[in-house]
Amino acid sequence: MELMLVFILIFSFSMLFFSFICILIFIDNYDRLWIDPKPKKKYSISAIIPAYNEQKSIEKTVNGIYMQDYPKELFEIIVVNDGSTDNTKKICQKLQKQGIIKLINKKNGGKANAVNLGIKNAKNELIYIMDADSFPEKNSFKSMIGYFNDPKVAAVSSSMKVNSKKNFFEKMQWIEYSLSILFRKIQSLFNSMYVTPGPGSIYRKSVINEVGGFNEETLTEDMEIAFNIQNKGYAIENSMNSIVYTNTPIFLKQLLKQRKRWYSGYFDDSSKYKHLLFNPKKGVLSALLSFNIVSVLSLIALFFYSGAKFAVNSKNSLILFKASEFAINIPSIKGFQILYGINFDLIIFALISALSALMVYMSLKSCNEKIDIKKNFPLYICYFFIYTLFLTVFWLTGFFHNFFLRKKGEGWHG
Amino acid sequence: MVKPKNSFKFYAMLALFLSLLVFLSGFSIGFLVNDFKQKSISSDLSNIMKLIESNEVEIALMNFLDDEISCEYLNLRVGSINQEVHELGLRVSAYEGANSVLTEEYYSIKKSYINALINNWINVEKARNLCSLNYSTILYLYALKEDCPRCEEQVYALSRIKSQYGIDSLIYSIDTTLGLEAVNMLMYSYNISAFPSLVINGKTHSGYASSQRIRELMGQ
Repeated sequence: MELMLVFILIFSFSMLFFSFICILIFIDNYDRLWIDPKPKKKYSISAIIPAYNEQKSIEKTVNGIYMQDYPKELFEIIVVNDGSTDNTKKICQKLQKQGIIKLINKKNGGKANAVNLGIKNAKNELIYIMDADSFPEKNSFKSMIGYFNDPKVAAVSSSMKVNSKKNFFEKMQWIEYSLSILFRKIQSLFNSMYVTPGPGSIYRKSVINEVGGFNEETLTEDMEIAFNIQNKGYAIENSMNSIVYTNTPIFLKQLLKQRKRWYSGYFDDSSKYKHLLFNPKKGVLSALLSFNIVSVLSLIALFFYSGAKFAVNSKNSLILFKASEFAINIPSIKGFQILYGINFDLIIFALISALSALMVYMSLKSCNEKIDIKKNFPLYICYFFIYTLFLTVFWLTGFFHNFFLRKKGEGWHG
Repeated sequence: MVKPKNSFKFYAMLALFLSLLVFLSGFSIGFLVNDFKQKSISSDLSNIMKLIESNEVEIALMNFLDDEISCEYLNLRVGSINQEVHELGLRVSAYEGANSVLTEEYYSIKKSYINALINNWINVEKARNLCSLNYSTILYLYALKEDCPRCEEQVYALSRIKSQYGIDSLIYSIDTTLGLEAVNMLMYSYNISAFPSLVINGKTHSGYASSQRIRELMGQ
């Protein structure tokens, strides 16, 4: 059997399996996805905002936290100005004078470094991390803190939504982030979340100290700490009611830069915690991580294989494009003959597309997003057939960056 | 802590069952569709073979009658039979394109199809000589991609000819890999040793021919 066919069969089966798991869990647990435990005591929170050149958004971020529907005496806001060269410092000094925030100024040392400094200066038992380009809805704290009744819970993440969906890439990320909201909740139900996103996650300070703080030598400190926490046997939860809005890249170049960092960090962290892979003792987390890494590597292999095949046949492929205009002129092709082109691959492809569309629908519904199938149909089609190609390229870039280009111990200084 | 209703193992097993069910259903539907396609090609082929046989009798009869009016009739008949042969050819090629694994049964149908093509080509050549018909016949002999790297390119050149000349150019794509005696005989008679090869109005051209070159050969 042709190698390509084997790849396609394995990949199709994995996609079907994964889609079914998500759909079954979603349907069976629909009534409990939005239930957040009520706090059994008053939790005090230190919100930390690491900021590097965030003059455009820092005020909105601080206000989003300050306006939380939560007693003011139970939380503090610490902004760590990580050597900004724009007006971030000035804006923060104004907020400090108003008594809204505590400001720490330092030399640029990267996000993880800034967060660690913030934690050192935090006085409360729970640490809320918020990226300076994001802001929460006002019920965020209330929705999340109840999970900390369980001493095994070390962190709780929010549901991330895009702040704006005006241009093509923002719209694509809107669908992508909506899907992630559902996936994260499903993962959290089975203690298998492998990232606590930078915008709007709460951590138990004692556990952060126990695991040695945020790793400053990784590109994705929010993923590394999630691996680290679960490696120590703690749980990570997710609240679908705690919504955080984040600014997403508008242009392809920015998006590529962001994803290169994310996916390079993913490979780096997975290598560091490779003992979590294919390890039955680590339960669902290990199963999901293993499935994820196999899928990503298969996708990269498939991409390489197709690319190599295309390169070998490039001459013929180019002629194919040229010839297609003549081929359609053949007068005797009838609609009925389309049937002769149907095969097993096409049937499975149609089924996977239908299941994926169902997942997008469920995700958008679970995020209370407006679903206008008629208006947004071209968007969904673009997501499945165009944006997924971009994602493959991003994964490939991350893979190469991590294994061939990245300097050892290089952290994120953005 | 919010706990799920069932364990992950439960969902995974159920998802595995559903995935297998879908995969098996896909295989079954694919198999049924395939069966239908094969039967349909086979039935079309037997109809065409009957038409070709009848055409053979018509040519013999015309030879016997030596009648000019019959030439007009024959011209129409050759045109309609070739249209049907061409449509069947498109279905055969769509079927092959969609199925990377081909069955023995299919190869047997294809052998009959190639024999029918050669039969039809003989009839057309006879009719062409008998009535000086204005058709150009092109036998296109092809092999596997490994032995014929330019075969795909040749198909595109022939498609261009077909779209330009329509029914006036009768193209017969002959698969030389099936081990058919009639094909071996053709290759021997027309001195064919390389692929692709074309026999245009009875003259052999070895190797790839561009659409421009085919036009020149058709004009000779």
